[in-house]
Amino acid sequence: MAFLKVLVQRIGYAVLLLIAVLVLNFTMINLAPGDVVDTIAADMGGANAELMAQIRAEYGLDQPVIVQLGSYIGRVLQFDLGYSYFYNRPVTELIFERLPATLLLVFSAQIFALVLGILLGVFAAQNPNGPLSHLVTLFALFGYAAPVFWTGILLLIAFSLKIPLFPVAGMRDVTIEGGFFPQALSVAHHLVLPMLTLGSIFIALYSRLCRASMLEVLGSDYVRTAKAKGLRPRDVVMKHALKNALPPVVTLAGLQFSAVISGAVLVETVFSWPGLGQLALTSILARDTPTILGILFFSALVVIVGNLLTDLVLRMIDPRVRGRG
Amino acid sequence: MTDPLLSVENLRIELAARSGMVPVVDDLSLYLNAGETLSIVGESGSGKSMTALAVMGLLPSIGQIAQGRILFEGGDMTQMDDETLRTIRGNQISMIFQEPMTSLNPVYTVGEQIAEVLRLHKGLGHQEAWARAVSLLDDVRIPDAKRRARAYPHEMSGGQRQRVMIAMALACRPKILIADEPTTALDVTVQAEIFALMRELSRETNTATILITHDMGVVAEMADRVVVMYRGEKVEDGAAEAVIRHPQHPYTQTLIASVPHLTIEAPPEQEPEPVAKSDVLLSVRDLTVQFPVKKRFGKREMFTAVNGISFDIERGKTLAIVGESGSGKTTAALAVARLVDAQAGQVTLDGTDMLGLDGEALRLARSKVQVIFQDPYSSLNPRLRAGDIVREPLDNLGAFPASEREDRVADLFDKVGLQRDQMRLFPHQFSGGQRQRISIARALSTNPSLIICDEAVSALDVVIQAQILDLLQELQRDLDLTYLFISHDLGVVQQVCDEVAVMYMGDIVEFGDRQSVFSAPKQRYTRDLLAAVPSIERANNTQRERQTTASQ
Amino acid sequence: MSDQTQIKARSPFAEAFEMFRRNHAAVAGLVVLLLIVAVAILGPFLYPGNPFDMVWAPFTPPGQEGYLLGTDYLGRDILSLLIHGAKVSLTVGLAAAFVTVTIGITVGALAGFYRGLIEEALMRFTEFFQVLPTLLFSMVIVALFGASLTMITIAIGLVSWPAVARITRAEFLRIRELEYVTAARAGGVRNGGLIFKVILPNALPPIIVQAALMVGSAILFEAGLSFLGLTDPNVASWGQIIGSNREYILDASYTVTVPGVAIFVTVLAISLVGDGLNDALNPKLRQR
Repeated sequence: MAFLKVLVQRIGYAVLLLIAVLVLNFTMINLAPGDVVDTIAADMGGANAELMAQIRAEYGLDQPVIVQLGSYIGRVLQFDLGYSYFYNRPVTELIFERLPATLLLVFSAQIFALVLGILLGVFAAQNPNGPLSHLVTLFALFGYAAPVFWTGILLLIAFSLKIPLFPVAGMRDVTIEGGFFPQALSVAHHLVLPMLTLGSIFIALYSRLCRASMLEVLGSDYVRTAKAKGLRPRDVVMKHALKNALPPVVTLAGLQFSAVISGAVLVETVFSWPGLGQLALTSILARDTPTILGILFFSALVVIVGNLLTDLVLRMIDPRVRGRG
Repeated sequence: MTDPLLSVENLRIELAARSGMVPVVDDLSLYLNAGETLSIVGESGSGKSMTALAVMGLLPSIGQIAQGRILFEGGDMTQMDDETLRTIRGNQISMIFQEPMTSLNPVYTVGEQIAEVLRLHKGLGHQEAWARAVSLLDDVRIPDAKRRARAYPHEMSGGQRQRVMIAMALACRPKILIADEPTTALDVTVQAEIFALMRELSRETNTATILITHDMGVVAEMADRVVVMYRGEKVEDGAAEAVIRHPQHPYTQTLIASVPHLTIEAPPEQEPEPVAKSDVLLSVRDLTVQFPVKKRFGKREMFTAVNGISFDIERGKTLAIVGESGSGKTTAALAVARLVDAQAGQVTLDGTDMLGLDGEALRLARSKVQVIFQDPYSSLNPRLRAGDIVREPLDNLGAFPASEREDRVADLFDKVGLQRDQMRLFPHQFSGGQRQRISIARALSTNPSLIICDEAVSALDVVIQAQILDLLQELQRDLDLTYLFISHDLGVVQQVCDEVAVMYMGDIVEFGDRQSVFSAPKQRYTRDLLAAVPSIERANNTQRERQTTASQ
Repeated sequence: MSDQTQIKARSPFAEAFEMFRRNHAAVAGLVVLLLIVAVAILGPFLYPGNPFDMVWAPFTPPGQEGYLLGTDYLGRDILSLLIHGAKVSLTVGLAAAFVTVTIGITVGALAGFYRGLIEEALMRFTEFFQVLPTLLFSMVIVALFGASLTMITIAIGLVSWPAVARITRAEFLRIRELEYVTAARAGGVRNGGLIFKVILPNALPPIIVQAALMVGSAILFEAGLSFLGLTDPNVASWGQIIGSNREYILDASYTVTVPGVAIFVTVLAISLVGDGLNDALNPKLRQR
């Protein structure tokens, strides 16, 4: 029951954060030079003052700022993010069409990086001066220093162009017919390179932290106690040390959601992955403000949900967090 | 005579350092017979803990056994492979450690941590092991063991955690229990309970015990035989009573002399008349300190750390506040110095109403009361030179004209027994005792009328502790200082104070001059506290009694 | 006691410097970094002219016709573009790191020192900024307010400071409980002095390390933005070269790989220096 209470609290807080994002969105539109109508007019190749005034009234832009803010938030809470004049479609529709691709990329890269990062970190910590340990350190350095779009291009050159193992672009092969499995297989095939690219930065981060965290935990008093009990080395590491070394890694992963989405924008561009990032780029270049802000809102939502999940995982691992409520 | 259960022969342990392998234990031999208690005593760095870890085969990775044998029931443990050693560890020989707060795994229930040993060594199933764990918790007097087995370590007090450690260590009925300073982190009354438990359980199960300690009082109360170690070598061994009464080696003699043991005082000839104090420097009335504690559901509740206490200190005298952790003694002292905010009461220092001050007036009034802190490693700013540390209050409080401050600092260095050229050095270049001298110099710098010593010698080894206590007393005589002395250590308190206040859960439960409180305590809590202190004299008396009863 | 007079005073910073000097990787990183800085400052003098000028046929491979790194799809000299781009990358990196650290330390120090309501408010503010996807948010800023280098720097600074604020706050929370801070207060040090003279200098090590890493991430960030084309089109920058040549990786992969190497080496050098600083300033490692 305490758990439910915490969950409700967290969700309430998440809603507040989302409203704050909306306020920020709104402030930015109002601070930016020119308004939506100017953009629409520019898209139409110029419009007369009368028409512009009409559109302004339609958008409520002649109302006081605070009223505009209220109605903006009201509309968004009903999932109405406005209309894209560039695509000639409602923004919500546009976003829902692209969101699954981005979610797939973001979560698969995050999970892949976490699993591999933790494994590497754990094994590297067994022998802090061994070859694997040095390899993890080296990989962490490289993974951090390589610009993700460059890594993507290199992988593309190597494994799509020189050795054609993986497709160059897109999310699925449109020529494939059939049921769920062939389709899913095709998506997975397309996913490999983007996921590796995006994951590489974060494997570097997580393996490095996990190694450091494991080393610290392995030197702790309770690990000494576990050894004094006569436990096998494997049990000492996997049962007693790992569970204590995980919380910092999980916390870091939670903080990285915003960075993963940012990286996804670049990776989607490199691999022509049909997600929100690509949509963001085209709408920014087209100055399609409603779409841009809609994307910002939804990606903030993804980060918030990611943080919520992290929180729940942390509570599962660490009883001390559970006690705090 | 049968062979000893465990014997260590010519053991040499080396640790890797920058300069190569450095011996931390050298040519150590000792033995342990079944059912007896052997104490290894020494200061920090004497190699006593390393010896214990070597027996367990748990030396840190930078350490190694360079020479010698460790024979357990005739088998040489230094030659055994890891597989064999693991069947002994936690099963035949088990160990409890100094820090109960960190020695249990925070993410598993205590029941699981005990049951794990039973499953491992005794091959019990999950349910059997759990039931056995619960009954072990019951054996170590954890109330409501069935429910508490499901508790996590952070939900238990330090004393309870150490009980859990004992339950875990005794789970497989080991032949040997190694206890490394098992009560150093605990309050004296809890220490007494833990020792009583250990004595009882080891007698019941006929477990031999190696007790590692720095406290000669503990040796006197617990041990049959003792080995004294100094800088990695055994300097003396023998029957505990003989070694304590007639120490042969000079180091053992200093060690015993330095222990601030409780002396049995003659009760005062007559009840002292409550005389009005003539020259009161500090007067505290109804001082109350509360802290907000965040409760669930975001409601703030107040925790009362100090509950309306009152006392006076005469100029040039020492008042000691004793109490266990959580009694509020430190909070009370820091509130007097306005380093913690008090919610109610009155503090008058040398005619100044301390609690009424704020802003700049408060800042300047700080020159009147200075504090010597507990931890020599965190009480000095690592980025400042020793001289600047002592000078900091002078510059900030404008005490002494700027031109004289340099000389003042040099003068203070002389007074606390440091060299003047050490003023240039940084804190990490000093030893613990030297750092505490810097702390004292800093506290003296502004010529305060009151000095608060907050557990000022608790973190030091006994020999250094004795030196610092001497320095404090010497300075008091020379400079006519007034001390408010905060300590948990009754032996230390008895040595330095004129009057004592005993605090318990925020209240002063007993107040009086030293003689009457130590010889004829009026309150039950004070009596318990005094009885809990391991005392060489008392132990000798009881041992003599034991012998006389045995011979009859 | 007499031998004590020979002991030299060794400040913690002097010891840290000594530790750093012994770390070969970090020293190598520093040397490379200084070289790149020298190129950024001196390069335009040694290699004058507008890097955007077409100098030879497009896609001239490296080494031919005297163009060491070849030419891109518009026939521009890649070496010249790289040299001029170095200045942009380093300037934006340093300036953005400066903005980041300034905001981060201010917010973190105030939250860590004052506690209570101030802390609560500042930390909520920080959490809010952590929810915004960094690159998307700065893309929006740049899109709405124009793609000048100043705007890019501000945008990077605005999205990166929460990390510094969290570290600073954590350090302040830890250090403010240490006895030497209480001792300083007892010694009459004012709040301002406690924050800036007592706590901050002791909190600096991890902040310095983070600041060094921030320069690296700011460079990566700028490269990302300019790769997407969200940069000042009149200034050469590394990410932009990659972004604009991206279509031609099949024919002339060097136009993409070579500028990437420049970014990679620069950021690698910075993080080596950062790691060296971390080891040197970490008191746990220093003790023995």
